[in-house]
Amino acid sequence: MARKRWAAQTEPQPFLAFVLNTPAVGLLLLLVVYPIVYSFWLSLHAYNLRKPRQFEFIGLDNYADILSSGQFWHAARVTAVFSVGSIGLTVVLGTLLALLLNEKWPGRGVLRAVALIPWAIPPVVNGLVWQWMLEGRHGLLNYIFQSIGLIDSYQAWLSYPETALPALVIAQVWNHVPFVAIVILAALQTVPDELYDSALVDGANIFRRFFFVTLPWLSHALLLVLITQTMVALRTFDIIYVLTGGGPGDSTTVLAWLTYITTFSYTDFGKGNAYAYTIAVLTMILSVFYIRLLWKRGEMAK
Amino acid sequence: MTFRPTRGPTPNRRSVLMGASALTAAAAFGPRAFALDTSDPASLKRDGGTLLNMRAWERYPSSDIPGLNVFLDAHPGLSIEWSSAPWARYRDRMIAEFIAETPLDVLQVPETELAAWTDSEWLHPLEEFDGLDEIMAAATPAAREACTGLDGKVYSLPVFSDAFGLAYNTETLNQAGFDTPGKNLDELRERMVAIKKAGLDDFPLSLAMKKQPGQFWSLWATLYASGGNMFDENGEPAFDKPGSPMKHILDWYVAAINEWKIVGMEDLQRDWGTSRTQMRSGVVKAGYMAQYALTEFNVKPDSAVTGKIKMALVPGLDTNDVGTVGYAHGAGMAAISANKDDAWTLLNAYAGPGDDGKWALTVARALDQGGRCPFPQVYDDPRLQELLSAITLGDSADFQKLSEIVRAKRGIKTTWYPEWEQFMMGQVQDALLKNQSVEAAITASADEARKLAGA
Repeated sequence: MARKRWAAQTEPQPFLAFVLNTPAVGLLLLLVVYPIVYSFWLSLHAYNLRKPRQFEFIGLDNYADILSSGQFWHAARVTAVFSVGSIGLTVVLGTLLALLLNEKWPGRGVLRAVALIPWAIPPVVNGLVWQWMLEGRHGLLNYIFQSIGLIDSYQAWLSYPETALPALVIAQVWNHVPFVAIVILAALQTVPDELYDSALVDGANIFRRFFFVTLPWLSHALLLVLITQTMVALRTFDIIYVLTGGGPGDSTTVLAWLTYITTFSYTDFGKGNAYAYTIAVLTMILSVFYIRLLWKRGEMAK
Repeated sequence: MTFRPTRGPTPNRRSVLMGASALTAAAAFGPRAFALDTSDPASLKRDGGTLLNMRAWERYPSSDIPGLNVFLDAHPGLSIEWSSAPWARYRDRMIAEFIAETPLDVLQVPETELAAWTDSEWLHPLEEFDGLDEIMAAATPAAREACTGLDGKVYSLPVFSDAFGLAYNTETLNQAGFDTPGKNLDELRERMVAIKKAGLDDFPLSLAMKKQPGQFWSLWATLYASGGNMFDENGEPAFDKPGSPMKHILDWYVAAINEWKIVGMEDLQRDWGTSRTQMRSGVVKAGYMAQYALTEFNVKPDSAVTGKIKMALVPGLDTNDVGTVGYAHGAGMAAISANKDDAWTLLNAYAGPGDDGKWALTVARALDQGGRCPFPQVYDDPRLQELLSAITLGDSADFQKLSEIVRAKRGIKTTWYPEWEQFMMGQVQDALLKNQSVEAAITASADEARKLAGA
């Protein structure tokens, strides 16, 4: 009788679910929640490894220090320029590449495989590749630009504030375009042909079909791409480490780089964690903005 | 039709017993076999005796482990548990071990960490041990300074030390009509301009001014060579004081990059390691290098400039024999050590003359590293004299003078040094790019140092 009632049970079994999920929840608490909470706890302390025995609770002083420093706001401006540039270019180029790869033409398979290569390259290696490409005396980019008459003499691209940040953006975009292309390509392949057929019957040209059929359908994919690329852009420090070290001057000092040097060069773990939380909060705000902007459009498209 | 068995021969009792015996022997004697490899850190852990826990950073000289094995052979009552960590993680790992009170006896001490570790009472002062005074007297001034805490006590013995000099390509300089790079900045400019005008190189000099922790060696070296200081004895900025050569040096740098164009703009993205690599491949013709780099240039088989690179004293504003900058990392004793006398015996052999006074490990390390030895007298060893002769192309006078006049980066022991260094580098780069004046960069850097020191 009890067995029958069990079998016929349609209500959720919260207790059993909790029991079965306990190991996973325990691991999550240990490996994710604890470091996050501990990191926040550290951000409320004055804690520098060069004075490791001094561990003083200072409340939100680290955050106040950060928000009142010119260095933070300068880095925030550089981060904004870097993020807008790299995310914008990555999404546009990735979408164009996905549209190209979605068409049927000879050699499409080869290009799909080749297009993935930059994504497979670790960011530090990507930085090293671009270091050689951008090198001031023997760099490939200088050779190409001079060959086609764009420049008269070789330039030290990474040594001028005007060119160093764009160079970082290009290196970042090259590394991340394939990821965007793959995600958008996957979304493109789910667009029902009937929608295009209907649009054709209605007399929509290729641009109208793109803007009124394809783009709304891509909203959720674009949302994913925007959120991940924003996180990537806000966290970028590896190519900066390899290519510019935040210079020349402070022209490429982004927030993530400031976090890195505060934590691992100044060994100021208190302030470093406060920087990390500031970046996390910024990312969350931007993510909520993206979701409000794009989620409903995606729902309506379906 | 022939019958073919589908299975192999069945193992008989004898083969099973032989196999089992072989496995047992491997299990029993395997570790011993590995331990016999005297370059393996595991070989330092001997059976019985007092175990000393030792920490070092990786990429240690290959002569260290065999040298310590020789030491252990002479001290059968001792054994060493050697553990190393990458340089980048060494500081964090050691702090974790200090806090956790992990058993420790002897450890390598980076010059940047000595003050913090002594301030936290994690290192034991070495004054009480016999022979310390003789060892420190034999060390270079920079090494002595690096091993001394802010309380004036000695906490480590120097292990690696080097001075920075001006390395130059003799072939290029000779083609431009000169034999030496000059004794002061004016003479240096004259020679570099001559190289440029002769079409031998567009940007012959490398200053390696990348904004990266621990860089700007050329600026420090030139400042010391000009009789200047970055900080005074009280930790106050000295480079903005009237009479400091800093402004003139930076003016020279700005002109070298923007006016005379003897230094390429890409030098703002070169650290000294990159300069060294490019000198080794023949791209850079002159640059500020640590002494041991001469081995890479003149001795190592894959060098493109073998037999062409010499190292001169660093040209200052007026002279070149006043000073230069260098670094010195040491080895110290953990305060927690339960075997301090044995730890000193080990430390004395590892970073000092040892019981027999022969400096055996230090000599072996210097031969292995192409120098980097903090004890000038050790270079009297005939084998090192031979090495010196090879790397200095038969003229070691400047090399030895550099070792005598080298000084550590003053200010490096303060808590706020890394933060100030980043700030100062940004300011100087802005001045080199002419985005601000040299005066503004100096004033801002000095103000920042005072602000950080007062915080």
